[in-house]
Amino acid sequence: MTELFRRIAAIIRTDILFRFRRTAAVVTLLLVAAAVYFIVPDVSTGRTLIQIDGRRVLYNSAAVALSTAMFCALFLSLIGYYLVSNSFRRDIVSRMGFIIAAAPISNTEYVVGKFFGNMLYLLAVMLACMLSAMVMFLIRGEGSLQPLVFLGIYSTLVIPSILFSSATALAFEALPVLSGRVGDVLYFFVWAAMLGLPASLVETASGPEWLRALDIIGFIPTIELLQKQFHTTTMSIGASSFNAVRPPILFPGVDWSWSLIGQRASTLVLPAIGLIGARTWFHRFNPTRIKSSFHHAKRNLLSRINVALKPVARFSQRFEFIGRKRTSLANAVWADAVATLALSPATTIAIVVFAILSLFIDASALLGGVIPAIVVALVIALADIATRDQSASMLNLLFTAPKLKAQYVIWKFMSALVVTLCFTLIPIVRLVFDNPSVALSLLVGSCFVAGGAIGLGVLARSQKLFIALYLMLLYIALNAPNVSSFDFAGFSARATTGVHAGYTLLTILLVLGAHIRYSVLVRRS
Amino acid sequence: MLEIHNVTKRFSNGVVAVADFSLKLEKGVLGLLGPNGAGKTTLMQMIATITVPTSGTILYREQDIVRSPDGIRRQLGYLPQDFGVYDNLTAAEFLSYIGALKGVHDRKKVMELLELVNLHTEANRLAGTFSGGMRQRLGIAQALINDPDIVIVDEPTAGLDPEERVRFRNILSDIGVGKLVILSTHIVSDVEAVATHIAVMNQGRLVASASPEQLLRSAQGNVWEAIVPSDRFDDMRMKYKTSRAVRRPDGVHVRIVHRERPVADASPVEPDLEEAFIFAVNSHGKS
Repeated sequence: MTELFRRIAAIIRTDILFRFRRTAAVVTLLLVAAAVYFIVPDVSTGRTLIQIDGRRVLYNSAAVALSTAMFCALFLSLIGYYLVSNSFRRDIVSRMGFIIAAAPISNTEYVVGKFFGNMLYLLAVMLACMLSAMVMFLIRGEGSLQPLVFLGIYSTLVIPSILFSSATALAFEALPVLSGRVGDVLYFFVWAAMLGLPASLVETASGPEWLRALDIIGFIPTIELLQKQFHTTTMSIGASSFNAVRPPILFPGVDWSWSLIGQRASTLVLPAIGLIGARTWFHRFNPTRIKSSFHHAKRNLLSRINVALKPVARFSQRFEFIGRKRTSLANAVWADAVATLALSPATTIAIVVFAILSLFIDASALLGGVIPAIVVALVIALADIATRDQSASMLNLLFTAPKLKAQYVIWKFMSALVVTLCFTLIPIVRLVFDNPSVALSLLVGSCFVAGGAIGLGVLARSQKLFIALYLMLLYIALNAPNVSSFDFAGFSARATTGVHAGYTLLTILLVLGAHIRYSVLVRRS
Repeated sequence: MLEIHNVTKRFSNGVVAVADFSLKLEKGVLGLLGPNGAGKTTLMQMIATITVPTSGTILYREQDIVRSPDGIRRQLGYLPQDFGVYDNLTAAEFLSYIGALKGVHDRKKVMELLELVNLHTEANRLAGTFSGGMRQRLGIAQALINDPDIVIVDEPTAGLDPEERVRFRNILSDIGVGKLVILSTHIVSDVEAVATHIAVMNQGRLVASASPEQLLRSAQGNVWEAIVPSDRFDDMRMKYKTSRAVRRPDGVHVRIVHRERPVADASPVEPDLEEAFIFAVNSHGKS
């Protein structure tokens, strides 16, 4: 038994060492701390953390802990997945998996070790968030700091999210069909459904009790707690405006009951199912069940679709001739864009389908349905443009081509933009006649998506950050249609000139940031 | 020690990687030779319990390794092809990790192994900063951490410079005493230096199994040397398996592996191991 624990402990320790020695871990913790700074607004700005019937809830320990913990749960249930969803893959790519497979360690020990490794990393992110919230409390709080209140609320609300992300990431990785980009995108929709379901349960006050077990984020108990204590349904959590004339109210704290604890405990069923799935599907690095490198990975769903559609790639290659007589960078941009289509024939099919839909569908369906669907398709299509050359060890080969080494980020951005415009050009042209401002939004949005794919891909050296952030932004944009600042591609036709300028600036910053980071890396190598 | 009986591995796409392979192995260094795609890696992965045979059995000390893999896993050291490391771990941390997975928790053992592979001065350096040769040496150290009875190394010298290759061969030679070391490669000189027994694979099948001396003997009388005019050399190369060719003023001095005298003025010469290997691979199924 001792030996079993020692083996599991070794896996956990190695995972922790590996992750915390990466710059990305430090950056993540700093970003979390920075996010908490913005989540807890200064009340003198007219915004507050929790607003009940227009009244501000006092910043006591319970209120600050509850609201920041909810954001932490929300964050870790989504981003947490992307932060840890490379546990098995890392061992496959490094071929360490073969050594582990030949060692006297059981599948259960390995999967459990990886699960705890994931969990502890996300737990560290939670602690960083909680400590930052306490610091913010010391700066902006009203009352005495009660660390145990923070700890109790964070543990109850956030830990189910951590367990869910940790287990689901392993389950998705273990199942070849979901182990790639399709899994990454699918997880976002699973998360969105889990977010929407509790909200509808609270709104309709109906539905079977067991559905509460899907409320990983703790939305239902939080809302019910506030409703019970303040006898109202008009409330908001998160930086929102309040009526400064009306006196603030006190949130007395969480009423710890067996019902609340039972409800939170019931949410552990999903992580348990995920963990059992991961253990059941775990391939033990058997080469007949996995492919040992990125280059040969054909078992996931997207790769299978692309293999089936390979004849379509010949169609896209017919366009190679267009670049032949141009200057070398333009030529390279075109070649890379054609390569994207050739690598993923499903993208070509999607472009044709969206083009037809964009021509014939009515304007409201175009904005509310087709353009969001295009953004999802773009997230899948563009995600690996910035990282695929490095994964395939192609960088040095590419750098022998004229201008590419010095202008790598620009080249990739332009190539991603060409692919993006293949999707959006027809909708843009149509919207120029219907609603020129929305056409401009879509054009700006096209640059923003292409810039994000390359900028975040180069900065994070992974496609996951781009997928997570852009899908989350899309989710927010579609669920907050009245907030013009989120309308990055014209979904709600509310974007102003300021919004256009803002997203253009963000695009420039992303590409510039990536260029600087890339230049530093090249100089070091 | 290790018995392989009629092992076949067929992939889901119908490709047969290993076909009806049988071999009995005892202590010593087995050089597993074969051209690329011969099935060496798949065979080694089956012995290492990473994948299972489609049919046939592999017995370790008379125990079926498919039914009870942990028996061999406790006594196994494995260095896969293109071995990578966790780049953020130091050499000592990396070895401690693999040791823990194999039930070894002795810090002294870690340092001893680092010394064996001449990495003791780099124990606290991140493995990600190691050269290819240093990584391979770290790889062999991790394969030895549990003092295994069987050591499997798959193409360990690929990509190493000549000096590192010699150093690596010496390590393998040292550890081969009292253990079964299976060294898979297509570089004949690696095997020549250390192997006590050689198995040659081609297209998934075992085409020869013998000591290096026997393998050399089997090729005797089948290797020829001739001087051919430069303009006839290309034709000659297309027609026969040439093991070596040197351009000189009087023509191309060529060594040919063939059962019969290829040209009238060719004279028989003593084969080397590379030629014996070429002979074994090419004579299989033709005799």
